Amino acid sequence: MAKRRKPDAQALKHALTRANPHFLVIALMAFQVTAMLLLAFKTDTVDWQAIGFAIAMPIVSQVVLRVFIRLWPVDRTLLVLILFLCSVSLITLKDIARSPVTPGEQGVFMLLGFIVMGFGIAVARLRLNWRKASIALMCLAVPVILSPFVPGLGNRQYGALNWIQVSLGGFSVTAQPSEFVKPMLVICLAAMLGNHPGIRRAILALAFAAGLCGVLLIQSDLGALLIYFLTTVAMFYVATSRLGLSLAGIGAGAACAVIAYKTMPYVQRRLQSFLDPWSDPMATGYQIVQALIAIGSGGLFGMGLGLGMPRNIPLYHSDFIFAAICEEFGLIFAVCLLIVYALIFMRALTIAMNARTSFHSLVAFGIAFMFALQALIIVGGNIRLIPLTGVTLPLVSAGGSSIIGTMASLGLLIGISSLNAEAEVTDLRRMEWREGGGL
Amino acid sequence: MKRLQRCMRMVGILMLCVFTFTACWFAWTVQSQSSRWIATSYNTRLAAARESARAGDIYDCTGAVLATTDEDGNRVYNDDKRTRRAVSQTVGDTLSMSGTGVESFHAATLLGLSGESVFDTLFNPSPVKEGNSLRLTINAELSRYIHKEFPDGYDGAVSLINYKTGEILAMVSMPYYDPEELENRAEAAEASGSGYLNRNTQGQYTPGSVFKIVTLASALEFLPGVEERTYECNGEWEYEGGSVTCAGGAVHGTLTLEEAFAESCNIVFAKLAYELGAQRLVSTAESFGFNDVFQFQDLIVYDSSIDTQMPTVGDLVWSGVGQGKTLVSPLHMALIAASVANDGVMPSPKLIAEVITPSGSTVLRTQDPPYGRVMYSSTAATIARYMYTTVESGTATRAQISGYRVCGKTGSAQISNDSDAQTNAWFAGFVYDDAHPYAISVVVEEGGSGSRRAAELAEKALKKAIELGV
Amino acid sequence: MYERLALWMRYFFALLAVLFVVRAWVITVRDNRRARVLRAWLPETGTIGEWLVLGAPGGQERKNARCPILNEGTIGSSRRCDVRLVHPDVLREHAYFAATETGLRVRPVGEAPLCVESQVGGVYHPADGYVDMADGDVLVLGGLRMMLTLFDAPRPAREVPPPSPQRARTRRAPAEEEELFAGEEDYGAGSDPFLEGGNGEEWDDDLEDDLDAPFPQKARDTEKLWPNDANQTRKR
Repeated sequence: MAKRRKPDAQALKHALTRANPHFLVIALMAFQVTAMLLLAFKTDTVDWQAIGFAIAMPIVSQVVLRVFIRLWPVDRTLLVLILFLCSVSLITLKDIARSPVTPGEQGVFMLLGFIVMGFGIAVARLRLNWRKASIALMCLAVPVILSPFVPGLGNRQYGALNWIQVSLGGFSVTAQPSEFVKPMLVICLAAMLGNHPGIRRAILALAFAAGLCGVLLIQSDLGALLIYFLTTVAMFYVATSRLGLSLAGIGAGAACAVIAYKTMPYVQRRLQSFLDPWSDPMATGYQIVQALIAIGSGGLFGMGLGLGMPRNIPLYHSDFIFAAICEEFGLIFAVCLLIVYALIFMRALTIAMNARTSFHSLVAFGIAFMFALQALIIVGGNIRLIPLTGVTLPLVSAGGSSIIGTMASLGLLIGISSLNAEAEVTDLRRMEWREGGGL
Repeated sequence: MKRLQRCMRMVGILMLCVFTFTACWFAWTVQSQSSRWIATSYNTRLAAARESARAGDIYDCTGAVLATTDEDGNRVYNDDKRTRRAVSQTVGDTLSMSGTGVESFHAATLLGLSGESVFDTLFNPSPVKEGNSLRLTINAELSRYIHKEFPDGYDGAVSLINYKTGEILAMVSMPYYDPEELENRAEAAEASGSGYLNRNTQGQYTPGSVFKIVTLASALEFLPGVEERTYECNGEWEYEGGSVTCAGGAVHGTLTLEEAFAESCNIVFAKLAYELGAQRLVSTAESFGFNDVFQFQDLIVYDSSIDTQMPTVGDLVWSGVGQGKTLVSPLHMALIAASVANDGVMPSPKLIAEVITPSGSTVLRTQDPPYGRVMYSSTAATIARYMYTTVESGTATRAQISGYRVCGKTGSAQISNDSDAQTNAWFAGFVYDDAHPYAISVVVEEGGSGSRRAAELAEKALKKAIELGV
Repeated sequence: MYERLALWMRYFFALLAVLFVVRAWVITVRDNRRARVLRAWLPETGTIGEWLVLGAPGGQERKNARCPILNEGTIGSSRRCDVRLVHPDVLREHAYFAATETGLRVRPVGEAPLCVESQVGGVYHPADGYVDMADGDVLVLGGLRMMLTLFDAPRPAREVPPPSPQRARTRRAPAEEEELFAGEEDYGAGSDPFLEGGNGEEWDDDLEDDLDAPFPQKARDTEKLWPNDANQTRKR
């Protein structure tokens, strides 16, 4: 260990200064403005919605950044990365969507999402007895996830009963309740599994998770099921560091997957289209073949905004939005997007490691893991690395519930980062006190 | 807390590895496979691009125009009917009837979609998007000649390549079709049957005796002293479960290995295969490229295969003579002949000589490296010597060209158990000359014995190639 | 015209994305390095208190050794424990502790023997699986006695001698630095960023700019920076 030396003020200040994301913010705003202005002139008539976005997006980015930074000592770079993903989403949807309603809707959901994020930050900073609170949350989560079964509310889409539709006087909203339950799951698991749980508590937590997974299985929402299951196993492993049990859990999951393959034709078709999509390119393999064609057409730099034909890909605005981004923006941009997801995961993991209590640490970890896992699953499905599952690319895919749920989770994460920052200041002050004043 | 952090760190590193793997796999897959993906006919972008962009021209190696777009935007092909038909499968057509043709496989380059020319995109003043032009390695006149000389009424394929560089000089496949006569996709699909197939790259044939090149290479490399031994052929050799006879019931008597090769004695090579065993024979074949997935940059070549299991003795010995479940494409056979001529190094086939931007400059592009070393240099020299003997005094005398050292191997591949059925006539060989480094493979379906039709056609083709000095 | 522009712009977007990602990566790496620097030079970072070893005859722990603790942790002799005590009476994983509203709750692992001598008198044994400790109480693990000091206690229980730097340094195993990115050289290997004057990156001195607030050098500055006093995060 190095000998302790009195650090000089300059060097300590250098060490204590957080790297500022100035360049990132400028680059982000430049990207937003140039891309939206370009899209405004895509057709012969000027697209006023794009112009509106070109003005609103940098303003909203600045407002969000400044408001959050002023309110709490949050992780600024993480915020900028999140804003980048939101921008990519809006720009891509504006470009490829058939009607201007989709990017408009997405923009509204993002604004709502930021408000929800603010709530998430506040919730993370609450000083509650999280064990008791999580019992209440569990009781809340169960009806939410069961809501598609309520007749009149449920709405079957794409073969899965995981949507609800609420109509209020002619204006109907569809939502996916499993997205809202995700942060609740993480909080409950973190509260129950934190701080060396006893057997009883661990079983309660796992039973809750298993119950949710069971409901998802009945709803045929296999993508969400996969995410819930793997997140539970990961959080269990991290909380109890019992590698054997965790691997056994994964084994059990794999066994269930094999059973699912044998009994559900839907799964068989998915696997078949993954293994050899070219054998039936007009039916089962259609999605993945068109996605691959789109990705290949993009080349290194893409076909150019507005010049590709991404609407050939089915579900281009949700499941296959990554393929559409590859086509329009190119391979380099797509890899950078993937790296941004990895960076968010890394920063979130740092937040988890610096958290002061095991509860906050586990919450941050759970959110980080879920976020990264979802991104990997859908990108892998797009590029035919793994079979396609029906999950959305977090923050980039169109989908209101997904945005709100993800923003809530990220709000919790950012809230924990602010707690970390405050604790760091406290420690520094203590350090000064112990050193007898002045550094 | 420490324990917590340690576990998180491990999971974090795991996830980051998965991210890195995904990104790398993604980049690699797109780089290597994307040209195949976008070449399929399910790509609606190509059809749309053809409307809006002016596709570049396709030239042969001398600069003769094989395909171009006229002022009305129609795609027109070479004026001469015979030339057009000779190169039809290689050049392809806009309807993708010939799916592996240059028009389809390199559509992205021809239509300017693939961003080859950054500077052209930025600075090209022309309002209509122009694609790049391609100069191919094939020679139109040579192709025309081969097409004319191909025996009437027979199907088959001829591949003529440069054995040093792998450049394809002619790829003629019969039956042919005429791209000018295609009206629309539905009618064209109903019309002629397999004329759209490029049998050189997509046809998978039983090789017959030309496979003895591979068996010989295997014997030379694994069986010491095999060259000095003498062999007995008494017309029939029995093994557990069957017997091997020589073609036409011939009895060759006492032979050296060289004579056995030149006379194409089945019994000797069946015994050699038996002595080698399935594992060694298959390993040699696999180093020659059998069972490999070909991923060449310029064209699609279907994979050649050999049975790795060979459960019965019969499978093994008949594989040694090129029958059984072994399948090979004529282009691959030409590459095998080329590797004999090229000191044991098999070149990669090349079809695109040059990519020319609309403004006339050449695009720098990487070429495939040679496929690999498939046998020792000394083995190749020995086989070349044997192949020379085959042409001088063996089964391939019809392939002789005065003044040049032609080496070759014939084959008559049985394709059915019916004794009345004709065999496929094969010839694989090369002209051993630095100024005319040509390797050729010919297959005439149901053409009878390889020593007649296939060797004759090979002689004509090689002579023409020498004459043209391609 | 639009087509031409879109084709030009795709190179711009790719470039922007690459620069963005590279800068974000550099920032992340730098933040991690910064956290490591802080942890190394201020090892008491993240503590709510510390244990002071009062006496440990027969073991390797020295008298007056200090062990800073976080909100939660484990006590034991294995290297995976947050408070590592090498003593024959201490099991591999002896007890868990966690901060509560009023002090520290210590839970023995299984049937591990421990008891707490309260500062005001009386010895408490674990009941219902845990025992609460307040500031100044002594934890007894067989022959090893440790006193708990909580920094945010209402008043210090007794005169706490200032830490002796060398002792504190040798107690903690330096290899346990949690580094997210393995591969950076061990901090103790001799490189000293403070003397080298940093790695030359600029930082903005402007305190007014929100994006950019550096950490305070003096304690006073914290009040200006964030209105909610960080000390209030844990109410008493």
